[in-house]
Amino acid sequence: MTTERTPARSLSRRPSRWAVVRRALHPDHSPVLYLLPAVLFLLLFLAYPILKVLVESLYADILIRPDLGRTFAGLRNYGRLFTDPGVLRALRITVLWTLTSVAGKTLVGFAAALLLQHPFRGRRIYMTLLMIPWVTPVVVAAIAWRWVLDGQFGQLNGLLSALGIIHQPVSWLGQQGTAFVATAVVDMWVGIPFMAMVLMAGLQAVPNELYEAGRIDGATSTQMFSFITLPMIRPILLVATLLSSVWTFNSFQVIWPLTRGGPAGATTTLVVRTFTTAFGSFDFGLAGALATFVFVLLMAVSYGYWRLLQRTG
Amino acid sequence: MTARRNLALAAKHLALIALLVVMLFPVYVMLKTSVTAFDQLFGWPPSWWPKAWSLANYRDVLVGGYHFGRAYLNSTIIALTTAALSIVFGFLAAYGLSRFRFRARQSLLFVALATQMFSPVVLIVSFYRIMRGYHLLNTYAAVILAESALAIPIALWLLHGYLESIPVDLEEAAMIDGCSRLSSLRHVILPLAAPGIAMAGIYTFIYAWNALIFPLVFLSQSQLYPIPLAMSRFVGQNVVYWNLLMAGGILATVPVALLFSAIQGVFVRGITAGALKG
Repeated sequence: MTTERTPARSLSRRPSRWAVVRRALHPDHSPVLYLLPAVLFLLLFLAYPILKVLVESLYADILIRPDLGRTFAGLRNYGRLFTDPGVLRALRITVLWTLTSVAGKTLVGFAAALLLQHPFRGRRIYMTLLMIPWVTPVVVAAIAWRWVLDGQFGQLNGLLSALGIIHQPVSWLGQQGTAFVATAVVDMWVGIPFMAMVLMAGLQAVPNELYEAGRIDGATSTQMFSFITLPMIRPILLVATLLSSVWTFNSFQVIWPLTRGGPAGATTTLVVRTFTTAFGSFDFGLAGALATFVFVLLMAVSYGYWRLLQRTG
Repeated sequence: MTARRNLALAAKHLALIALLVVMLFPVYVMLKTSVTAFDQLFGWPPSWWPKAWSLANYRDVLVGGYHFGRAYLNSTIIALTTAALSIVFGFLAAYGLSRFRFRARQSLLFVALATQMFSPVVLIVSFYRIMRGYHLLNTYAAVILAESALAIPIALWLLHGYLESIPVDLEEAAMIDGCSRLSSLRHVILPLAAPGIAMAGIYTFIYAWNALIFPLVFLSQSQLYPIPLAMSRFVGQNVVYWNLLMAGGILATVPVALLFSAIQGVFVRGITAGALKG
């Protein structure tokens, strides 16, 4: 070491390895130190659990049957997954429920955004009031709705019978059909403000000159809507509905306090099913396979969303 | 012309009022029930206005035997820590992503976006095992770490959108004047990004405040319950104390509403810049 002392001149030509490393890490020139904390955290608490769920799905492991032990099961859990009528039903319910809720959110949210598009006196008050459902914690909202929808003394029953629409109280959350619709409506209620706000921001971005030009050309408001507003807002509408679909698909906080997935599984979506498989029947292998399935599904949608963003953004 | 415009305006008000009546119906029921005495709850038809107003429910919730104050404290600890972790980790990473160009940049942004689409349910199966392995079940730490794993990417994404909107010229000017990057980060960027940081902090705070599934899985000791779980205390063996549930619900909503109103403007801009324009 001592004999190979490099002369000062050549050191300035070729920096030592340590200097290269230091430069690669230096906060002035490299993003490494800024990214490191988040990346390490997410590797540990996001990537690792996802990998572990994949591994979990390959084992037969029922937590409350320690006598059966934990044995390698290969793809058997996936076999069970795709032949289990309960899982297939949950998949069907998830798709229908998501479509219903997102359609409702988009329609009402878009209508609200259009109504609030142009400034007028009182607009701020409407906007503020419209935000109330959004700031209500979802669990609180679900519990409040459970009381509104109560089969005996609920305010909805009171309202509908006062209006003469029903003659005896309806058990909204106690029947399969009404429970499905009711949970979807509550999910709409929770999601409408966000949809309205995002679409409103999108409408603000439509240049006013376009409307003025339309007005000069004598366009009717229907024409202005279909030839100016709709094409201009399309990218944001697409992104907002896609994002909302994913969140709706994932909705647990709405369904769980309202129905726990009942009655008779009518509101058991995939996410609820995963939860009850893991922490109701403690079948961790099957739950792992379900979670992996949901994960792959969501990643596929995320990737599509990403491509869409890059094209429109 | 003006008559037609007035008619259109009236129709607009009418439509908005109709929408808000529907949207605020449960809020009204919640408020009404929260000031109604328990023995007045179960009557047919349900009343539209409480016969006697009383704040006794709020008192019972806060200082009664339900330990709701403790739940408030639990929620605050969990949400504040999650927000703090998310801001620190998220801000640094967002800075790195918005001020440097490198190969993995796009993939990292994609990962941050993809995690926003996650259901915590995907993770609970293995998280439960991990936390049990580290003897972290029934600790705040378990909930905070799990929430942060999903909240950091949100903060990162929001802050990245915000930082992209701050011109690089300002820092470059500072750096030409001899500032190191870190000190320009501290003296130039940090003050400019403060509204964005507040937004990300409040968003992640609300996210953790509302969380249900991780606490549900990780916490079984009732003194650790955050608000969403503690609400179950108002459900008795054969009876539901709706009056207390609604009062508790309103108490849980107030901090969120206050925080949100503080950032509403920035938030709308942030959401559209960060989440929608990539």
